[in-house]
Order: sequence, then C-alpha cells, then structure tokens
Amino acid sequence: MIRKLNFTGRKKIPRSRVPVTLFNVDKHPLSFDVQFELSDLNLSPEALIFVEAYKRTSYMRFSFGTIGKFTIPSNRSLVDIEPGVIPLFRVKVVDETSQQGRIIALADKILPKGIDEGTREKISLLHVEFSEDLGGQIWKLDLSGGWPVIQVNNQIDLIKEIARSDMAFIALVYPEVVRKILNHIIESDEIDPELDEDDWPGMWLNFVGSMPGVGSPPSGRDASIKNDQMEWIESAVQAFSNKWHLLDQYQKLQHQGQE
Amino acid sequence: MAQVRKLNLQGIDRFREYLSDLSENSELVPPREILTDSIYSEKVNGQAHVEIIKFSNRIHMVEYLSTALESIDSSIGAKNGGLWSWLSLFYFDQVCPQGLNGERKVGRDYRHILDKGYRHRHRHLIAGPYMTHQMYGEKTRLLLSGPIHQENRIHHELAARQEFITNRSIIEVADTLYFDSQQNRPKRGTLSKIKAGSLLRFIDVIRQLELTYDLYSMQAQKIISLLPDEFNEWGIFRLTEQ
Repeated sequence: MIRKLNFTGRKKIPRSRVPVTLFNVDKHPLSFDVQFELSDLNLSPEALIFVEAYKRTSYMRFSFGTIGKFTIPSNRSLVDIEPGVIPLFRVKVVDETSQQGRIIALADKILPKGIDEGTREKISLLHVEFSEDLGGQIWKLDLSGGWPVIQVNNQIDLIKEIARSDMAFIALVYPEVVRKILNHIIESDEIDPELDEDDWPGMWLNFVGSMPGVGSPPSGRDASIKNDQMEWIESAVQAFSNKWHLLDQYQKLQHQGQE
Repeated sequence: MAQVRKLNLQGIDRFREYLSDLSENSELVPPREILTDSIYSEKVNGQAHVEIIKFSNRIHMVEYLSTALESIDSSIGAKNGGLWSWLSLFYFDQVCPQGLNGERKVGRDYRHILDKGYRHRHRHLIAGPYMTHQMYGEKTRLLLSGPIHQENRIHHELAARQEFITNRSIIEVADTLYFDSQQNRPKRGTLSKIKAGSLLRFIDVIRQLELTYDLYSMQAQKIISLLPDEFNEWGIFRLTEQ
C-alpha cells in the first residue's frame, strides 16, 4: 500500500469541519458562507484564518480573523472568480508570530454546498460544469483540477440537466467516466482510501469499494499487478452499471421511444 | 486613428478562415475590411481609439493599449473575445509579421482569436500580456519581455499556474531572480533545464514551500529568504533574520 507522509507539521482540517455554502449559484458573482468547527484542534488563538476561493487562474482570499476571535467579512462576493464556474475553497490557519507565515492547519479542495441539490451522492463525487470550448464534443472529463468534472458543451440546451439526470446520457457516458476516474487514481498511485478519506480519490475508492464484489484495488509490486488493477477497474465499472441497472434502464427508454 | 470595435460571430469566423487559409498560402492579405464592416464587426460600449504604430516591444504595446482602452470594458473573459480578435486583426502585421520572403508564420488560432477556454486564453498575443500587465504593472517586465509576435515562454510557465499568476509576491520574486535590469531582458539560463535555480526549478521549489508557508501573505523578500542556496547565483539579496 502506498502511503504519503506529511513532514510539514501542519494539521489537517477535515472538510466536514469547514463546510462552505455557495449562494447566487448560476449568477455572477457568487457569494459564500463558511462555518468553522475548529475548537478541538488545539490551534493557537492568535493564529489567523484565511478562506481562499480558486478555480483555474482566478483566485480570491478572505480574512476571517483569528482562531480566538472569528471575524466574518461582510462582503463575500466572488467577483474575481471567473463567471460560470464553481470554485473550490481552501481554509488556511496561519501562524504569523514568526517572520514567515507558517500554515499550521489546512483544509483544501473543499467542494461547496448549495449546488446540485437532489443529486447528493453523484455530485459530491462528480461535478458537472458548462464548457465553452468543447467544439464538436458533447462532454469531456476533466481531471486536471481539484475535483473530477464532467464538462458539458454549453451550446446544447439543458445539457447540464441532461448530464445529471437523463438516463440515456447516464447509461452511455457514466461507465466510461467511472473507468477513466479509477484509471487516473491507479495511475497516480492514490490507491489508499485511508490516506485522505475526504479527498476525491479516497471518496471514489470508498464509493466503488462498497459495491458488491469490488472491494479495494489490488496493490503491491508483483509483475502482474497492472493486469490485476485493470481487472479491478473493469469489475468496478460492471458493479456500477449493475447497481443503477443501466442496461435495463436504457432498453426501457428504447422501448418507450419505439411506442 | 480607428475607432475600436469588436468582431461578431461572422467576423470571428471570417478571421478564423483567413488564419486557416494562411497556413496554405502564407502571402494572403489580412481581411482588414471586416474591421469596419457592420456585417462582421460592431461597436463596443463606450469610445476608444487606436492607431497603427510600430510597437518596440510587448511592454510598449500593453502600456499603449492600457491607455487607449481605459474607457471600455477590456476584460479578457469569453464575452470579450470579439474585442481582442478585432485588435489582433488590426495589429496583424505586428502579431504575425511577414518574414523577409513575405511569408507569415501564423501559429495556432488562439494566438489571434481569444480562446473561450481558460487553458489557452493567456496565450493570445495581445490579450494575455495585457491581462498580466493590468494585474501587476511594471513588475511584469520579465513576463512581457520579447517581441510581440512570439509567445514568451516565461509568461506561459507562470501565467498558466493559478498559484503563481495570482500571487503578486511570487511574480515579484521571479522578476528579482530572472530579470536583468541593465540589459533589460531575462537573464541567460532562465529557462535552462539543467542550470541550478532556473525558472523551472523555481516553480518546483515554490510548490514545495506552499505546503508549509502562506505565500500569499508574504512579501517578496520573505519568500526570497526561504529559497535554498542554489538561487544565490541569481544575484538575490536576502533579508537577514530580525
């Protein structure tokens, strides 16, 4: 099992302790609210709290006072975040008593709430986002950011809704999305779900691992490990398809279309 | 002097078609008539004027445009693609000059037509440098050095990384390390893959430091004081600990 070690000395803040909620979704600018539950992390009362919103090359930073005295900024509009995207958030607790600002606690890649109500499990694992530069493509999986995102072509009416809930789209597209995501996790050696349970690779491994017959991905240094891992991915995609009865659902839609 | 306009969808299509044709016949004349033809271009909100002047370098260009465009929306979001594409066609002889044999080397479309996606938007030969200059003013001389018609790889390396281009102090440190004020150009070896402390190594080191330090709250000199000794030969002045 591959494990990563943290030599920085900073504490990890579970994302569940700093939930972020977005407002004005689908408008620009977005605004946000954040709650802090940091009391038992034993952080210095003088340490500063910063909340950062970021996406691609846009970034904003807000000061929320100190651990001992929260100060909520009255203006939390994300005016500098590129329109049409959902930013991720980062909460930093910084000790500035020394000359350099040292990060003593951190929560990163916080996916905000307030988006996509009604599709909780799917959306916490996979984000759907408009894209203007897909050309003739309908969708594309983007794994270059902090969270997996299905980009959908904004030239298609209602495509966001289609990507989230249209059974034909889900049946045809999502198995391949699952395959690509798991392949990415395996390729980048992020296969220990205990490493970071609330980062997206850990969440995805827990999600697929809980399905019948899937379990944890094979790991080790055997020569055959690559094949075993590819087989595991295929079994996970199969289990995913079975869980949501994708074949039945799709055939049902075809019959309905013929009537 | 010309009134600034923006290409509409037909105008952008026409410009794109020209760029495509240019790759087959590099002596084709730019379709400048669409700059003022209302079928292909339209007025922008507000008034701005530009003229054909020979820019001595990229900084000259962005400084000129900063003044010329100050009364209109000159953001580089996707909705403003028509403006930047219009400017690219207006200054086409400078962003895509003819070589000695009369041929133009056009490159990818996103160098001339503002890309709607974020990945290549900063690579527009006018809008990319303009945006960087709007953010950081004179501290961008490292990123904006060089001729207009060539992409600056330093700009590309830094502007494509959110944690770099959004942090004024990191941009300032890069300027301190890699810009030769006397020669008014980047120092030799800045983009070397083997020289100690080069830009690519700087990017790696900053990414490491970000795991421990809140670089957004630090002044440039404080970040410099954290850099390992391999950067000493780039002529940095370190603050001593108080």
